Amino acid sequence: MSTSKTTSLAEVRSRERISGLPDLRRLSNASFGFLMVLPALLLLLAIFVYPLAFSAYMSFHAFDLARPQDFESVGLQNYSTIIQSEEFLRALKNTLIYVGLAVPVEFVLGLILALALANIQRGRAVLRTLLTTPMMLAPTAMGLMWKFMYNDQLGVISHVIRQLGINPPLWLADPNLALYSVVIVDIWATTPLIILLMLAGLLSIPHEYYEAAKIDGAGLIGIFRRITLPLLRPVILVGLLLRGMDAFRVFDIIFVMTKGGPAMRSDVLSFFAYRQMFTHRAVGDATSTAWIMTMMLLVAGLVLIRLMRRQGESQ
Amino acid sequence: MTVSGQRRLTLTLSYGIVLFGAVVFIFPIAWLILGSLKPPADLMEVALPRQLTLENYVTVLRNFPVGRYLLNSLIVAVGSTSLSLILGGLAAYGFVRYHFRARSFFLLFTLLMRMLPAIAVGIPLYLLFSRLGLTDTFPGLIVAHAGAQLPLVIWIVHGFLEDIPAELTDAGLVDGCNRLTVLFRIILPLAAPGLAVAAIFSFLLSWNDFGLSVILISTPDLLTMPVGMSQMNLLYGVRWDNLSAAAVAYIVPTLVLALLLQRYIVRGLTMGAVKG
Amino acid sequence: MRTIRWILLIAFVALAVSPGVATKAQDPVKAYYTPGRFDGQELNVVINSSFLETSVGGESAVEAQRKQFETLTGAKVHYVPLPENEMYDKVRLELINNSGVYDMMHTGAGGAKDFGLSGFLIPLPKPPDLDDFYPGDVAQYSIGGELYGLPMIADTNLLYWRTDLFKEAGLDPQKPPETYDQLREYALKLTTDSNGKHPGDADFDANKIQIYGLAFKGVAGLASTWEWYNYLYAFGGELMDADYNPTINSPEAVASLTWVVDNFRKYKLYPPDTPTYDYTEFHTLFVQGKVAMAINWPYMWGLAQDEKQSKIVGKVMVGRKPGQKTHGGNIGGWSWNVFKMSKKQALAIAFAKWMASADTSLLFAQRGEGNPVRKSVSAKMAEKDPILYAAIGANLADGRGVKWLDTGPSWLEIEKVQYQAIQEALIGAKDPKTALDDANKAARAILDKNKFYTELLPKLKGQK
Repeated sequence: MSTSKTTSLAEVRSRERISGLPDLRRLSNASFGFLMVLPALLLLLAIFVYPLAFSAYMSFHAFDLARPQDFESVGLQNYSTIIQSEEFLRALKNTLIYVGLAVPVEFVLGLILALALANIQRGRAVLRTLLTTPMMLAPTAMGLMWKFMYNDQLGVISHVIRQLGINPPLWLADPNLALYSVVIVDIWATTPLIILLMLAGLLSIPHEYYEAAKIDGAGLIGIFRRITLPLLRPVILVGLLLRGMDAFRVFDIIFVMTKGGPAMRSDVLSFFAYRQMFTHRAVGDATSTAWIMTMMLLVAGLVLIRLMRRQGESQ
Repeated sequence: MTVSGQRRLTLTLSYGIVLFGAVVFIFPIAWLILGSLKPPADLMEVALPRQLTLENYVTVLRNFPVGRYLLNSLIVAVGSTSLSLILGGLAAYGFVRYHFRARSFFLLFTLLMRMLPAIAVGIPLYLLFSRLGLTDTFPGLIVAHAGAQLPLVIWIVHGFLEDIPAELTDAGLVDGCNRLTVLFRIILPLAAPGLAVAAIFSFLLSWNDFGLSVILISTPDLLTMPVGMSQMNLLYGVRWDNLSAAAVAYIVPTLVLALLLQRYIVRGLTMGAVKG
Repeated sequence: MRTIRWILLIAFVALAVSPGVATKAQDPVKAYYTPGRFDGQELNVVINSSFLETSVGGESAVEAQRKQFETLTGAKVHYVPLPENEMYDKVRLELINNSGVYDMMHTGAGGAKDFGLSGFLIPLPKPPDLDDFYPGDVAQYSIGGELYGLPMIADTNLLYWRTDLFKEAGLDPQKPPETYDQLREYALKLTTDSNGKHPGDADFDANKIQIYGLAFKGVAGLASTWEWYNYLYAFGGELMDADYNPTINSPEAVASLTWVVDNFRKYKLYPPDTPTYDYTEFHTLFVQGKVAMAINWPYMWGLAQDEKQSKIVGKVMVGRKPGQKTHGGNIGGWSWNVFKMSKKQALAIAFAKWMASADTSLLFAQRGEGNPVRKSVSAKMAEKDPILYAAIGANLADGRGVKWLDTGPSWLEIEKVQYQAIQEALIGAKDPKTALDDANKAARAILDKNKFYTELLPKLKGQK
C-alpha cells in the first residue's frame, strides 16, 4: 500500500503548518519510513557492529588466549574442523531436538491456555498473573531450584513419585533422559511468555469479527479456524521466530543443571562454543561455532520471513 | 446443546484448564517460598515446614545489599525498556508501513543480534565498552540492554501492526492528518497491546539478564540482582538458604511491577476496543 | 660499684633490644618495609567473592585484614570480588590486554603456575620463614625454583564418618577404615534400606535405600576429578611421570577408577544420581544424614557442626584418609599473586606478604574460613580443635599437588578430558580402562597442541 505521492503532498501543502516540523512533510513516504527506522538501526550498529566484525575476523584466525603471540590466519580451517568434530555434531543434534521439542510444545500449550484465559472474564487478571510467575524467577535461581527438585534424594518430584509406589527416573543423571529433563524446565519457564503473547494477540482481534461470524452461524471450531488462527498468524510466526532463535541458543539452564552432562549427553551448541572459548581458549573455534550457529539461524529466519511476507500479502 | 449450555461448557473447560495450568506453574515457586521460610537445616528436607522462620531473609539482607541490587536492576530495566520501546516502536512502524530501499535487509539485520550467541558478543562488547569507558556504568549497561531488546520490540510490535488494516492510515491521511498525527492518534492506541507485551518482554529481558550484566559490571555497588545472587556462594557450593530467600525477594517486586503494568495493558486494550 | 655498672649495662642492653622486640610483636607489617612509604597509594585486588561471605557472621577475615593493612600503611586497598569461575576469565582478558586495571589477585591451586607460565606474574620474594609452610604448597606455587604465589590457605581432603551409624553397624567409631578395600567393606555394612537390610542380604532392595555408605561427586566438573585424584594417588598412580608424559591409564589408575565405578554400579553404595553431584549436593546429603562416610575438604566439618545447617551435629568424626598401596591425596589451596602489568608492584608485594603472614593465617583458621598453610598455625589451632587439625595435619603431610597444574594453561582442558572419562565410566558407556586410555591419549594431544613440551617444560625445570 502506498498513497500516491502527489496527492498527499498537495493535500499537505494546503494544510496549516505543524509547528516545529516543517521538513517532514516534504519527505517522501520511503524516506519517512527510513527515518523512523534509523535511530534503532544506529543503536544496533553502534553496539553490535564491533562484536560482529570482531567475531567474524577472529573466526578466520587461530588464537589461543594462553599464547597470544601465536596469531595466524587460517581461512576456513576452523569452520571445517568444527563441522566435522563429533562433539559439535552431538551438540547440534541435541540442540535441534531441544528446539524441535520445546518450541512447538510451548506454543500449543501457550495457545490453549491463552484461549482459555481469553474466555474468562472474572478473575482473569489474577489468574494471568499466576500463570506468568515463572517468568519472574531469575534464570540461575530457577535452574538451581529445578536441579534440586530433580534430585533423587532431596528432590520433591522424586519424593512424590516414590509415594505413589513408582521408582522415579534419574532425571539428570540418566544420560538418555537428561536433555529432556531440561526441556521440561524450558517449557515450564517459557510457556508463560507465549501465553502473554497469544493473549495479547487474541484480545486485539476486534469483537465485530466474532459477532459477524456468530451471526453467520459459525461454530466454535469454525470461528477458531477461520478467524482466530489466521488473525493470530503474524503474532504466532513472530513468536516462533524469536522463541526458536532463543531456544537454539539455550545456555543458562544447561550450564546450571547438567553442565552438558552426564558425559556430554546433554551438550548444546552454545555450551560447546563456551567451552571452546573458556576451556580450550581457542577464540577462533569459539567464534566460528558462533557464526555457524548464526548462519543456520539466518537461513531459518529467511524462511520464516518469507512465510510472513506471503501471509501479509494474502491478507 | 443450547447456546448458553455451550457457553457454560466452554467456560467450565476454560476455568479448568487455566486452574490446572496455574497449579503447575505456581507449584515450584510455592515450594521455593515455603523452603525459604524453613530453618536452614530443614531446607533440604522434602517436607512441609515444621516451623516458619524469617531467618534466611534476615541473613541475606544482613550479608548482601539486596535493596541496592534490586534498585540497580530497576534503574537499568526501566531505562533500557523505555529506550527500546521508543526506538523499536518507531522502527516497527517504519518497517510495516513504508517501503524503502533495502527494507528487507535492515529487517533481517535487526534479527542478527538475536542470532549471534552470547559468546561471540560478550567479549568484543566488553573490549569496546572498556575502550569507551562505558564499563561499570549505568548508561553503558542500559544501552547494551536496549540493544538486546530492540530486535524483540521491533518484531513483536511488527507482528501486531500488521493486523492493523492499511485503510485506517489512508482514512486518517484523507481526513487531514499528517503522517505523524496518524501515527500518534490512530496507530498508537491500536498498537497498545503489542507495545504493552513488548514492554513486558523487554523489561523481563533486562531484569533477568545475567550474561551482559556480569560482563559489563564489576563494581559491587552497581551489580544487578541476578549477578548479585550468583555471588551467594560458599567456596564450595551454593548457599541455598541465602539463595532461596534472595530469589523470593526478587520475585516480589517483579510481581508488583507486573500487576502495575497490567493496569496499563487493560487501559490500552479498552482504548483499542473503543477505536476499533 | 662493679655491681652498679653491671646493672647499668644490662639495663642499657635491655632498653636497646626492647623496641625491636616490641615492634615485631605489635607490628609485623613493619618488619617488611618502611612505614609511610605507601601513603595515599591505591591497590586493586581481585578476590573470590566467596571469601567475603562468612558462615559465622560478622566481618570476613580478608576484609578485616584489608582494613588493618590500610590503617597500618596509609594505602587504599580495593577489593574486586568476583565469583570464582568468572574471576579467572575476566582477569585473563585484562592480562592479555595489559590494561593495568588490576594489580594483584589470589588464585586457587593452579593459578600461580597457570598465570606464571603465561608470563603474567612477577616472582615474589621468599618469606624468611619459608620452612613454616607445608612443602607441597610451596612446590605448588613455584616455577623453576621461583615462588609465584605466597600461600594463603591450604586445603586437603579428609575422611568423614558418622560415629552413630558406625556404632549401630557394630563398627568401632574410633577405628575408621585404613585401606580403600576396608572402606568398601564398611560401606557395605553401613548402606541400609528401609527394612534395615544391607547389600548382600537376601531381600535387600536397592530401590529403597535410606542410608548410603559412601558418596562421590560425579558431576561434569572439577569436583569429580579432584576427589578422584585422592584415590588415584592412594592406589599408587600418578597423573604424569617424571618427564611429564600423562600416565592416567596405568594399571594403578585403572584400579582406582574401577574401585569408584564398582562402588556405584555393582555395589550400589553411592546415591543413584551421583553423576550430577557437585559440592552442594554432596555436602547437603551428608549433613542431612543420608550418607555414612565421605571424603571431602575440611569445610564440611564446620558445616556438619553447625546446628543451623546440619542434622548430624556431634555425630561426625574426621581423620586421615585411607591408603591402598600408599597413603596420599591431593592438596588444594590459594595463593596471592602479583601481576607484571601492575604499576604498584611494591605495594602489591607488601599486601601479599601481609596476607600470607602468620597472623592472617591464624585469623583465617580461627574463623573457619581457611585451613592453616603454616605448620605453626596448625599447631596453635590443634590446641583448640584437636580432631579437625590433627586430621588436616595428617592429610597435608602426605598430600601432594595435582600435577596437571604444572602444565600451566593446558590444565583446564585436560581436566575436562579427565572428568569426561570418569563420567563415561560411571554411566557405563565405557569401561574404566577404555575411558582412561582415551583420556590419556587426549591429554597427550592437548599438551602437544599447546607446545607444552617444547616451550613450557624448560621453564618449569628452571632452564630459560
